[in-house]
Amino acid sequence: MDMSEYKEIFKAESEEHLQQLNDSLLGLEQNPNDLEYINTMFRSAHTLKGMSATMGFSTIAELTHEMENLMDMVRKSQVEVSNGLIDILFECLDTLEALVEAVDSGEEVDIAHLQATLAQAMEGTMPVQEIKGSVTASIDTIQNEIGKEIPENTADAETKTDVAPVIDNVELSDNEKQAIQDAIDEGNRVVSLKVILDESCVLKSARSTLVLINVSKMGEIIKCVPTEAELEDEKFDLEFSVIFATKSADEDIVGTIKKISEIKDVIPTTVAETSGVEEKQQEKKSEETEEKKNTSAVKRSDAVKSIQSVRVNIERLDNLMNLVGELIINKIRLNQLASDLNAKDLDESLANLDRLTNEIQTEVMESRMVPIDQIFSRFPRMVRDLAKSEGKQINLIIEGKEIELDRTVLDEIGDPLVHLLRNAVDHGIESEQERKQLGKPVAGLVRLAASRQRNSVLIEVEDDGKGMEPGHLRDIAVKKGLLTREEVDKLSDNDALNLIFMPGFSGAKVVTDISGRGVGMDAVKTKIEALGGSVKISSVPGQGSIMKLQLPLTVAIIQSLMVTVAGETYAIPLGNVIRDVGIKASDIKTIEGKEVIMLRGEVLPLLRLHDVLECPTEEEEKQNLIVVVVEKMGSNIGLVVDDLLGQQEVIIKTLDNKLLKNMKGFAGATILGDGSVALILDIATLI
Amino acid sequence: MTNVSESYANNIDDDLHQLVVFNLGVEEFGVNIMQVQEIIRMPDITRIPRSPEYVKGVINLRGKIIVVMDLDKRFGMNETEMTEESRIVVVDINGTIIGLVVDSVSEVIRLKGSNIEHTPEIITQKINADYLKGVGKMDDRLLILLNLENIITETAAA
Repeated sequence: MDMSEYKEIFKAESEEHLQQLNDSLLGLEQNPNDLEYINTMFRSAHTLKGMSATMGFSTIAELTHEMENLMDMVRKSQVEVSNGLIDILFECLDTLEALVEAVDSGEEVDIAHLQATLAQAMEGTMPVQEIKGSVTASIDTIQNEIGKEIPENTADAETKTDVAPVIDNVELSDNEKQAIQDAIDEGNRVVSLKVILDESCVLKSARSTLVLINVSKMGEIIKCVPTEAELEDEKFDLEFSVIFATKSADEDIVGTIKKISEIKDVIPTTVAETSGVEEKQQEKKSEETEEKKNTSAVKRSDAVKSIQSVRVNIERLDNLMNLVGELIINKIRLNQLASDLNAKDLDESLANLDRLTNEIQTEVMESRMVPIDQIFSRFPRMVRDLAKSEGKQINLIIEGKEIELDRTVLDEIGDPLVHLLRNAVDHGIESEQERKQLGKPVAGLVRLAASRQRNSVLIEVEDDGKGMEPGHLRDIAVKKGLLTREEVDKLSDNDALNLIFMPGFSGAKVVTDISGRGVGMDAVKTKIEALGGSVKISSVPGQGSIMKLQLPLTVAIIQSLMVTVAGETYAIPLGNVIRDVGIKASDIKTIEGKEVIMLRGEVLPLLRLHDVLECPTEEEEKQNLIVVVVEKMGSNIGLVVDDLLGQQEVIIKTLDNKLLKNMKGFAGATILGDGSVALILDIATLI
Repeated sequence: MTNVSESYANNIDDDLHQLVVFNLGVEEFGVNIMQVQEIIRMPDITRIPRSPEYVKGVINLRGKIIVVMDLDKRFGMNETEMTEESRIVVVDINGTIIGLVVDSVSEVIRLKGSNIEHTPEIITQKINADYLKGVGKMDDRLLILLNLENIITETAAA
């Protein structure tokens, strides 16, 4: 049986349970007397134990089992909830996390020392005899539970299905019948796959060969109609059938085969199968545990949430997004054709198509949205650990965790947020002593808040710590040799705050292992800007700082200014564009051989996109030039283009390919309404 | 179990090689059919500024952006003109999808391993030996078998 699929499910579910355990433990730490937290933890640990035992991950099962024992004693008030106990449990959770991570690699994680600590924690207050008793008792119950489930299923597995002697009017030899029966006994399904080639197909034999190769990857071929040799000699019309034994699902088979081009249709028919025991077994089990969990969950509504949802691989959603992109492109083409034809009836149905595609697009985008809680939920634990190691007291307030963001954006902002929070705890909040002297509350306040704005999401990280002194930042910049004294003195206080985003600038006086490695804020800024967002900072010395991250709802689509240069179309992300202006060629001056122009009293360096993009044709001499003013690292540059086509939403496709890996200047490519490809300029690396 | 799938495995690993044959200049080339995803007519190609000379540009293949490579430039051969017969052979090389511009695609053939020989010097003088797997002999024809893995590695000298 292929375990990898179940492993994925196991990992995903385990992570949920671990999150639940972490949350509850944090709750318990704050309310040591609320036993409901320990009950919730107990249930999660129990489910985790059952799952891992079923999957054969004995180390996880062992560890959760011992945790259960300890928690059980807490429940029975045989052990007191102390800081030490909470720390031990946190350590267990970290180890479990590592164990779940290691499921793929099969790495060994040593739990012996943790087991010893757990045993000590239990022994400290309890006569040894009694613990042993409870341990054996619970093992018995587990065995009972497991024992109950397994035999039923093995009984099912014995069922056999009769093989249909004739499939699609195809006669089978005795050998082949036997092969089918064998395949079924091994738990396979036997599928007859009818493949119809496209009429325009040129190399029929090549197509059929590819089909057979792909089929043989998914299962074992039992028979081909016509025979393989005939297929090779192209002795067939447009269709042929393959009978094969497989474990793959119909949709996967059809999907794989349809990826081969010039295939018109693929029709799978299940010829014979077992009763699908194995899959059901797994489902049944998780259902049962789910049920147990639900029935035992008492009152506390926020402890166990039930969400009506389906797990979907992110790749599926990406594919869906791509398909929608294509659909839109095709729709635009149809619209163009229709306007040429000037047919009323067509216009009407196209308007319907318009509406439908828009709705599909919205739905697909929505389905990619996940609540920001998915990353926020790990921060309470992180802030707690940080505060503890720094000897500070910190109240973390989280707001707007229900705000939704595109999955891709969410994946990218985790690290920047970790960094900002670390900065707030490490550099922002003063030590307890200092806070007392300043008359501030002893516990520092860190606020992490998300809110939805019109077309973006705003995330704020705020602290009530010591804030940043612009003068101090200026000094650091000079000391680190990033800027000269004259340069920093010219900066406004607000600009001085932005110095922390300079590469090589780190505000930490003492470098700790937590932050202040000098790779910090500039990396945050780069990351957020790469996503099409922005970072703003404000700070009042003595009162605290606030970082504002503005993020787009999705990265798949960006607003761009479309321009043409030498007949080629390029997209410039609107985030980089300041404005566009028309200038006269006669107004261009040269400074040190470089073209510049005076614009609103400022010197604007000019770059001819024609040269930057190494266009093969000669640039025309023109009197009036169009300049797109873009921002790069805080300074403005004018790009001379041939023409502006206007603003457009473009769907970004990446250009990652070995052949282009050293190439800079492009953020990706996009497909235009006429089906042609336009490159998206990446101003930061282009000029 | 039987015949079909087993004989299949043999074709791939052992003796028989299935090749897609295409023409470029005066030579005939062969690539493993397993690496060929599809063969398409020449679409509009968008030039990529600042890319290596042998990168012809990118195309839109049913919504996917595919990089297209000029094989003759990669081999340092004389540039051939585009005709009605020109095709792009889309290949999948360990997950990297790339289009190869060729003069025309002629057929799919099977070649016995014993008919494959080391590349004679007369050819390696023209084309970097790193790009070649060998030469396939078929009656009086010579097929140059390409090593696509090396062709898409940028570090190999052009």
